Parts: sequence; C-alpha cells; structure tokens
Amino acid sequence: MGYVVEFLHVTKTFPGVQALSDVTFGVLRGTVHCLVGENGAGKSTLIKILSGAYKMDSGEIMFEGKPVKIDSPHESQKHKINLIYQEQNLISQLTVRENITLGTESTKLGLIGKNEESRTTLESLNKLSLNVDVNGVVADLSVAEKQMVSIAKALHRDSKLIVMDEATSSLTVNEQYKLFEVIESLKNHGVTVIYISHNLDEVFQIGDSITVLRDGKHIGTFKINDVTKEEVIQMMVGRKLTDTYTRKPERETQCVLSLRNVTKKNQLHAVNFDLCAGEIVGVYGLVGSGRTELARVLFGADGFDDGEIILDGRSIMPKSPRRALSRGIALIPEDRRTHGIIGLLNVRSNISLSSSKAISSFGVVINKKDRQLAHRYVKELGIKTPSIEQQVQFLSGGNQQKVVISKVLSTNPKVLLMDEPTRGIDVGAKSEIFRIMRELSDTGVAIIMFSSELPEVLKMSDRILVMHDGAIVKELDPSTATQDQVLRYAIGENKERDDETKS
Amino acid sequence: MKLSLRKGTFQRLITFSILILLCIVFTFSSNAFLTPRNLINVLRQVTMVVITACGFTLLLISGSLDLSVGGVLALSGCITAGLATQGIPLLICFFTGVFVGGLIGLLNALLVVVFRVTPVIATLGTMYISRGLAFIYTAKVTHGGLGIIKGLPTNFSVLTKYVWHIPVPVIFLVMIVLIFIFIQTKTIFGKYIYAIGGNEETARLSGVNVSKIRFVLFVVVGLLAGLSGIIMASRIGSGQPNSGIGFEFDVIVAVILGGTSLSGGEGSMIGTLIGALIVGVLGNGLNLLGVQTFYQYVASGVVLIVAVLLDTTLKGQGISRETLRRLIHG
Repeated sequence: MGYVVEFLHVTKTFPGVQALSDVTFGVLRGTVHCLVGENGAGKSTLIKILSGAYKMDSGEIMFEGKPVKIDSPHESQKHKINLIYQEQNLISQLTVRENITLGTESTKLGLIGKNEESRTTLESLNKLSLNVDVNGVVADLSVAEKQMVSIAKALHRDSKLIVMDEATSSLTVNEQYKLFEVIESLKNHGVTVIYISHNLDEVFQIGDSITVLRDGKHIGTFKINDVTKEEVIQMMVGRKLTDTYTRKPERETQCVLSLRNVTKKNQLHAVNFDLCAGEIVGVYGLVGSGRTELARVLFGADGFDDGEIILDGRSIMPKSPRRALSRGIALIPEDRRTHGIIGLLNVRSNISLSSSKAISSFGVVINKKDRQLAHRYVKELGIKTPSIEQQVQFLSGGNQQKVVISKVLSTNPKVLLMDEPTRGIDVGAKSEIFRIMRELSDTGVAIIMFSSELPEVLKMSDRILVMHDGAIVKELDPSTATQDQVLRYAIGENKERDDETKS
Repeated sequence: MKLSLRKGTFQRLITFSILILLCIVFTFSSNAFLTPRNLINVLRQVTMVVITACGFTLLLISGSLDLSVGGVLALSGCITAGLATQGIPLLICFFTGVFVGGLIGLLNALLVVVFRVTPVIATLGTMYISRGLAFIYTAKVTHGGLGIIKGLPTNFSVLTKYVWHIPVPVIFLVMIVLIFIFIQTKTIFGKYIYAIGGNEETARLSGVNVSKIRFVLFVVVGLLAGLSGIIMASRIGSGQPNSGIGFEFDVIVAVILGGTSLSGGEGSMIGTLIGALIVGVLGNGLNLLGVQTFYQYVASGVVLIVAVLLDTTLKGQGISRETLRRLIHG
C-alpha cells in the first residue's frame, strides 16, 4: 500500500499570513485520512492547493508516486481528485441532475442524453438514500439537501481521491450515518478519502489516520489508534482547554420577550414561549422543523400571519431587520458567508456596519470611533487578523464568525438570536464562542440559540425547547434531559398533540 | 503606518500611470498639449461625463446601473432651452432642467426599488422614453423643428463663461467631485453603498435600509444627468434632442477604467476621475494630432481593453504567462 498523495515541504504565504510552512506528509491509498486543526491552521489552504485553486509558493505534490503540477481545478479532476467543499459548489439555478453531471455530461451526437443522465444521477442519489427531485432546481433545496447533493456530485465522478471539507456540518444524524456508510464502501473500492472536520467524534469514528496542522505547520501524522482525542485536541490548540461551565443558579428575572400564538402559514403553528433576561434558551429541531423560520420571524426578516410578539411588555411587529435591531433584537445568521459577512469589506467596516449611529455624527463617519470600535472587538473576542483593514474574505471561518458576532454585539442587543453559532468552527473557537455567550448572558442579554448540534444545546442551554413541524412540542430541562429524549421529540415521537387537527 | 497596497489603490496606480503615460506621449508629439489653456479645455470636455459618473460610480458600487443618463441629458437640455425661449427667468429654467433629470431618476428608482424591475431593463426603458420625450417636446416648442435655438436669450450660454480663467462647468465639476469623494469615503451612506454591493442580504440583515439607499442613488444619478444636460445645452447654445447619444457608454467607460467593479462592491471616485481624464486626454490629444474621429473610436476601445487587461494580469487574476504561451504556441 503506497501513498496516493504526498505533500513535500508545501509552503504558502498570503499578505500578512503564513498559511502553510514546510508541510510534509503522505496519504495512504484506500484509507480515510483525517485532517484536523483550528481555524486558520491551513487545512483549507492545503486542500485548495491540491485542487489547483491556489498556487503554492514552494514545495511539491506527489500523486501516485510522481510529481504533479496542479494549476487548475480542471487539472485536479484529470487526476481523478474530487472535492466536496465546506462552501457548496452548486449552481442554484440548475437542476439537481444538471449540477451532478456538470462537466461530465453524457452526450449523444452532442446532445445531452437526459434519460441516461437521470438514471445515473438517481443511482448516485440512491447511494446516499437522498430523496430529492432529480429535475428540481437546487435553489429550492434545504442547506442539508444541498450538501448531500454536492456529495452525490463527487460520488458521481470517477474518483481516486475524494476530499471532504466539513462535509457533515449541516447534515442530520441520519444523513451523517448514510454518508459514513458510503465512505466505508468507497474505501473498500480502493478510493482514498481526505476528511476534514472539526468534529473529533466523527474523525475517530471513521478515520484510519490523522494529520494535525497548527498555524500552518505540520504537527504530526498518526494512525488513529495511536492517539487519543485529548492528545489531538492539545496538539491542535497547543494548550490545554479549560471547558468548565457551570449552569446558572435559578434566580428571579424579568421576562424580556414573549411569543403568543405566533403563526405563519405552513411554517409556524401557534408558537408560545417566554424568554427572561440573562437566559440562554436552546431551540432544537431538525431541518424543516420551523427553527430557522422562527428565527427569521423574530428578526423581522419574514412576516407572520397571526399572534403577538411582546418585547419589554409592548407588542411589536418586527417588519424589517432594521427595526428589530433598533428594538434590541439581533441575529447571528446561520449562513455566515452569504448572510453574515461582506467579504470585500474590511474587518473595521464589517464590525461597525450595524452601529452606524455610534461611529458617526450627522452621517459622517468619525474615523477614530470607527477604529476604536473595531480594535475593541478584535481584542475582546480575540479575532486573528493582520490588521483591521484586512478584507474579511481572507479570514478563517472562526474569525469571520467572530467578526459577525462583533457586529451584532456592537448594537447592544437585549435579545440575541444565534442560528447555528458554531457551524464549521473548530474546538478552540467553539469554546471561545461559548464563553462569549456565557459572558453576555451574565450581563443580562437573553439568548436564543437555534442549533442542530445536540451536545452543544444540552451543554449551553438553561432550557431546551424542541420544535417539530412548525410548533414547539416540548420544553426540557437540560440537566435531566438526554440526547435521546430530545431527538425523540424532535422527530415527532412522544407527541402530545394530534397530527390530524393541523392543516 | 504599515505599508500595505490595497487592491483599489493598486488599480488606481495602474490607471494613473496610463494617464501620465498618455500625457507624456502627447506632450512630446504636440506643442499645443501641455498648455494651461488646453488642459482646462480637457477638463471642460470631460465635465459632463465626470459629473454624471460621480453618481454612476456610487450606483455601480451598490450593484446597479443606469442606462438612461444620455436620454435624460437630452431631455433636460431641451426643456431648459424650451422654457428659456418663453421668457422664463434663466435660473428657473436651469433648475427645472435639473429637476426633470431628478424626475426620471425617481421613475427609475420606483421601477427598480418598488416594482423590482432589473436596473438594466428599467433604465433601458426610461432611456428610450426620455429621448422620445425630448424629441416630442422639441417638435412642440419649435413647431416641427429639430432643435431649440431660435428665441434663446443671449445669456443662455452663461455656463460657458469663465471665472478667473476657469470655466464655470469646471467649477461645478470640482465641487461635485469633492462632494462625492466626501460621500464615498467619509459618510455612513457611502459605507452602506459598498456594503450593499458587497453582499446585499448581509447588509439588509445588518440593519441597512437597502431600498432607501438604492432609491436615493437613482434619484441622485438622475439629478446629475439633468445638471449635465443644462451644461451641455448652455455650451452648445441650444436644446438638441439627439445630444448625448452614447453618453451612457462614455460614463460607463470612465467608471470602469477607474476600477469600479461591474459586479459591485468595489470602486472609487478618484478612480472614476482618472478614468474620465484618460478618455478626455486621449480624445484631446488625438484631435491635436489631427487623427480622424473613426480612429479615435478604435483608440478608445483599445485603451479600455488594455487598461482592464493590465489590471487583471498584474493582479494575477487574469491569464498567466504559461496560458498565454500555450495559447500562442498551441
């Protein structure tokens, strides 16, 4: 068993950042090789070099024992290397079939053989037990479905090496399970998988070997059985993580936000709950449970048909995000890249985007205040950036998320909605974000955390609300609830209502 | 201060070098080029393009564009001239001309922001409408004539006068450029424009009133096109319904040469000024050398493409040297 890919002294520098320095390791054929490291450790950069999206400054890549020069994504596909990115590489206006077969269309006399394509596409989808319309447009799919489709796209190609970059970050437990089965069968067919994930449980479940990167340096490559999870975490962060969190003792608090029978046609059914100052409420639900819809309604991104939202004792109608923000309701959106940051703008401008009043007078920006605000949050949240003038698109995922959080915090919200706050973020940044959440709630901010990661919901919440089918079906106490229990309510078992009475 | 060359600065450096290069070439090939009089002349020629391009740059940074500026220029010029022939005080005529531009801008804003028509389609429509209205109005006022010349008061050409050796339009130009540089770099409004062009949804979710800003931008571009219209009418001493044909493209060329991205989110006012000056200097220099108009078109096209190519290759986003070699040698 030889190496499929070997990285030899790979080095890459970006303006102000040493992304990779002298990285050397090999990936054995027919194995699942996991690549772990904190945000900014250089995982994505390494993969982008392998795929031809970036050029390395020096070093060499050996593919099947021969030195190769990969200077375009097209080139990497010729070597049968396929990638499933963290950011989905699908074209939303095209159909599922067109996306999956893009670039590998089967043609008859130059015309696309639709039937043939539909058949093979369906095969790929079936392997993943993915039930979507082959001729449906990708834009209509949910985030999780899109991710599954991009996986199907890679499977559809004849691959020697598949790279999965945070491929499971928005998948449900079932879908993950399916994916792992597929990875297992790929392995048996001699395909090599490079698996990048922040989720070490996954890594230890499916990996054969593991490579740890930190600050662009290769820390080590091991057989998975030779290391423990704790050792890996220590190598990743270079320090010991203190992750002690004590749940808040019960105390008298006042109600900040109340929902009374909030209803939105086909999406939300009579949602009721109260939120107290300084409380962290976890809202758990599967994709399609109305979790995201609820967040959007509360933030004024979408309207609702019936019911009442009461903030500080006054009935409000959040008609737009702007109004919600001015009343003290802020949102950290689920999709950081398309809804959270403005990549072309620098860190400074992103941070102050929602708090223009604080940094300006009569509409004119006061540079000093603008910079102070940015410096303050860069320091407080530990944003790793060469300067506040750096374009946000060049920061790593965790640091981008911190920029989004900074932007939101600078509006001094009373109610903070966090939609999948730790999606695609490494352990180090995750624990920092938990710490930030805790500190905020200590200052009296009420937080609603919408999350599909059960362990984090159980760990962080003072109360858990479980959503299913557009309604809150159960309130649970995280100190007594188990993952199993939460999940059962979320998938609609143990339901206390009759299904037939709903439209 | 750290030395970091940002993308925008870099692009401006390139276009600025092209401008300087052109100036050097023309200085050596024509004695008449590097004289204060001629340089003022260049400024006067680019006045209308620059004034409109100021608003256009912001609009393009925000991710929209306005093709109606040429039609608006003609319409406001004709209405100004038409009113002037009826003995209405000149100041009121001029203000009405600018106001009419603002009205078309308002129509564009309504179509795009309220009725959600794509900017290209909406402004293509109003481009035809405003041009058509200019012809109809001219025909009405002149009883079938093709331009409003007769009956204009003698001081109609007041906007071509000089104050202290500087033409009035150039004074307008400098003032407007300064105002827009201020808006672009110093105000919240300017910052929001970049945010919208960079990622509209993020801007909206961050509490930016996207509709309002887009609305204001369209009206501003309309007003500026109207202002350009009265300057044009005053300069040629008549209201011409077929003036400013292709004006929208002159504006776009200046803005693109100046480094504003067609997809929004990037760009600058200084860049646009340089872009417009490149076009102006090129036209002026070639005129001085006696090159025919047809050749000037070709030259303008070449300069545009070369500037953009230079920019993308030097930034490393365009074709690599190897690709080029492969293309040439097969």
